[in-house]
Amino acid sequence: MARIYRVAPWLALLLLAAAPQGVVAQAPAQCDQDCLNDIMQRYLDALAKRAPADAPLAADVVATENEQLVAPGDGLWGTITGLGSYRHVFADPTAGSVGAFVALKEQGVGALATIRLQVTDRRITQVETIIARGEGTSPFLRSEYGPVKPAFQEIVPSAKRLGRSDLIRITDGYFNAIEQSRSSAARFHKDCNRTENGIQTTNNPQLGGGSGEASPARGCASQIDAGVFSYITQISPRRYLLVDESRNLVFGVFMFRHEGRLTEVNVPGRGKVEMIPAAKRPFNVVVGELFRIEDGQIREIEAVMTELPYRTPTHWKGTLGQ
Amino acid sequence: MKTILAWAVALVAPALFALPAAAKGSCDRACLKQVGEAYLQALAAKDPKRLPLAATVRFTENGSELALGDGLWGTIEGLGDYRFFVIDTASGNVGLFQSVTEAGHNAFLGVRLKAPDGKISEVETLVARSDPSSSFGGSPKLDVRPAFTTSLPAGHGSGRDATIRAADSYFVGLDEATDKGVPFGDRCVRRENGMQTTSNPEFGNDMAKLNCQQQFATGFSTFITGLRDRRWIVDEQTGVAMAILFFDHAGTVKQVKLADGTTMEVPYPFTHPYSFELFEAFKIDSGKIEEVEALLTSVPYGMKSGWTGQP
Repeated sequence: MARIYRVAPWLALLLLAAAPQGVVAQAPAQCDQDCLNDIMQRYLDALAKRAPADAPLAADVVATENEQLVAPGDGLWGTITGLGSYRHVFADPTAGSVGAFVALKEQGVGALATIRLQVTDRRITQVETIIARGEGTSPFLRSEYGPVKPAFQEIVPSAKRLGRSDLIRITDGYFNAIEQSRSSAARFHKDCNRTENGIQTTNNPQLGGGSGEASPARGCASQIDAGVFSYITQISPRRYLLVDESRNLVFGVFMFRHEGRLTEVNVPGRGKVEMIPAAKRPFNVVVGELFRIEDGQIREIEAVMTELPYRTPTHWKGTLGQ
Repeated sequence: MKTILAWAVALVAPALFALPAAAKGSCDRACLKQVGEAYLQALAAKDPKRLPLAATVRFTENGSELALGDGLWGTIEGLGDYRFFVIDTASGNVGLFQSVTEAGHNAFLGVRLKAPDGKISEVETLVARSDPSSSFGGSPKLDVRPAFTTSLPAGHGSGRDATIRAADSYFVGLDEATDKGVPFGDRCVRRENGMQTTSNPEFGNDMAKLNCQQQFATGFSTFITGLRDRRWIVDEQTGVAMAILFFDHAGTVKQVKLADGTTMEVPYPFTHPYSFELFEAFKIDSGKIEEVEALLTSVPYGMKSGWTGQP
């Protein structure tokens, strides 16, 4: 029996966010895109200085790091030793949210974080951080992978923009497709690519580690149809937290659950393939993930993820668009 | 690999919290052991329906609440030979240290079952897997040290509260980075996920070559920034106290000034925020800590056990 799946630290990774305490209600547009971007900049500047008092935090701010509550000043605030070069910021004035993928150093070691800020009255009321740590120790992490892919930053002509709910629906198909190992449950652009923890894990023959149908050389849809994600039992909750209609972007935080019971998968045209041991144990992965939709199809995906104990509950509740 | 610091896993925290002893029920020592054995047999058969359950049951694995039948219940391949029980008739709890296999790999299982009347109402488990999220690989063959299964000679017991105090002083010592006030026996040895991390000349770092008391006396433990949510059960017959707790590493301590004036560089991963969940058993004989046995797994920084109140 072939053992294709040894590849898969990267596979094993996957998948977004609204308001815990009843989050993502549609906030009044008091803070536009530039305002939100500025708040993210001020937050990151304060973080780099380990000075939470310099960030525009609301008095009752709620902050999590990898799904655990942390007080401002604790967690990453206590260990960051500098910001890196890679930074990708996106914002949703309608929801009052701004998100970012950020390269950083923690006690001198590279790390990659995705940070979501919920802003009310120009103060940060929520901070949700997912951080992948240990560059150089973890094989599945590259903190500097810029520049930001152009597809994420192109302004979409008005005639080609989609409504918020349509953007979320198209994105949600991605997770349905993974759960069902059936790419037709989603609509993929022919040039679709996915970058996870700074590493392009589709159409990337240089990545190595895989073979045949499980190879990272394959594209978004092809990998799904090969069954390489069938060890993912469920993707829930799917929390959609931020939509940028001007760029057809959707960001959310998604909890991937892996029961660990699947021992082999039947790959079309190849037969039964044994799962790697790492997939044959119960674990969760929390993923902050950004999607660019083009022509009604998923064109580009960027994610930061980290492993959590099996069935770790998310602290947050709520989602946009539902 | 995180194995470097196995010894460092010995850590710190305040709050001394024993599970309520007032819950004494009809299930005596033999009965509680039988409940523990029944749990293992049902687990090995992947069949929770075999369990003697109370009307309401809570089950957690590594701090997350699951349905019985989920988690390790779905992936276990078999039980290993390593097994001992910590039977607390006063609170109606039984603790278990057990080796298991999962996906062809060895792992350690810690269990706390509450069954004061023979029906299980609480199942708290820790699975220490030899996977990337675990700090320590499981040892393929591990014997159970006799101290954990042998009754104390007459006159060697300290009573429930004093047994807990003696064992808890270990965490106080870690918290305060001192051996003062920690009643280590001369033969004290600590194992963590099967690895001997004291008095071990073959371990590969100097700290692990020291005995329990000597390690604490170095003051190494200041990088352990929290020893929290400590809860205890006690087997008064064997003199074994078992704690369930968390070690927090804020990642802010990069160097430790040791008692001899030298400086210890704190290695990764202890320089970033993360926590350990632990089941840790202490043999207390005549008031001394004679053996320490810990099972632990890495969890997100600040994670709760699922059994203590939310902040």
